[in-house]
Amino acid sequence: MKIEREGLISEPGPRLKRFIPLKFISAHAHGKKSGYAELNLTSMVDMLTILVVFLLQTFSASGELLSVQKNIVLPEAQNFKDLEQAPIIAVAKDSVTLNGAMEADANELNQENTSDWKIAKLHDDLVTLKNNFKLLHPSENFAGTVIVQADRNVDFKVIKKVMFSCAVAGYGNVNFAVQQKAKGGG
Amino acid sequence: MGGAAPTPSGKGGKKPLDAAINLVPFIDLLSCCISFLLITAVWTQLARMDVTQKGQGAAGSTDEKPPEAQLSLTLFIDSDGYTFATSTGESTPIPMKGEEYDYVKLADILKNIRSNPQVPAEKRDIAVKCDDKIVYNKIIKTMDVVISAGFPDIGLSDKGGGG
Repeated sequence: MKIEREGLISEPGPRLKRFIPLKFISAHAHGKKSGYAELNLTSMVDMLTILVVFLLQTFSASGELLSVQKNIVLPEAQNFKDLEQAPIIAVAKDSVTLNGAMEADANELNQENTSDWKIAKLHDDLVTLKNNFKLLHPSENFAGTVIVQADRNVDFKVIKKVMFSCAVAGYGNVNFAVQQKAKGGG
Repeated sequence: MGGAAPTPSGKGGKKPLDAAINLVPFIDLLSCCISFLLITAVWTQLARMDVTQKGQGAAGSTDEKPPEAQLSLTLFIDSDGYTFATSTGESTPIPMKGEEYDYVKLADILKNIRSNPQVPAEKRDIAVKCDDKIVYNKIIKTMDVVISAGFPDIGLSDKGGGG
């Protein structure tokens, strides 16, 4: 495209026109800039200290003994004790598992009205675990502890059958897994 | 930001009183602490509640006195509310408060029992008997109230009295 009128577009000149006496430009115009940048470390140390204190407060020495299954919502409680290492029976709305292995269908357990509350497979597996413990730890007493990790909407009927199976298998010390709730929160 | 010692400013001059602490090792230590704590952090706060089955634990069988001489406390959980009963024959119904159980009234009754001079301090057990249709969450809430009131040895069973 040809420019028809000359003088409209001219070659750009220097941007900083030295004849303009701008003080804030002339103050930094001379001398070398320092290569070092000073970091204010005080605020950073403050932040790190707060982080360390927070993480120390939430630190659990026992580690993660129990992981909650996706289909289980645990109830909350204000009065609780620390977890122990024990076999974990997970009771969801549709399944009963022992250490992750399927043991029974919770829906069927809820519907059947038999007088025998024992869940046969769960009982047998618990007995196997008990025998294994006695073989592997001959000098230790068998505590008979089991952790029941049940969904908050499960009926007591299913819990009752699980507890009964545990008792028959020799696990009289049943612990219910709960989520910790701060005291005073209602 | 240099060493902790004040740097001499010149021959015969006054030494400056300001001392700069070397923060770099301190930041290193804090960074290591944060890394370790973040890696080992457990974010889900899980715990346990002890329970004994009726006839197996403290709530049932370890009696030295004859059964008639010892006070036994029983809390029934039904679909229409609680019933608190003692072996002396007293029975107190606690109806539901709307859709929820009346946890406040239950706590009051249990605290009254706890503060009763006729109930010995070593009396810590209570039997909780549930209907089959009671939801687990309500049982845990009830147990939480019972433990708060001073009865931590809970024997849980069904209304029939156990299997």
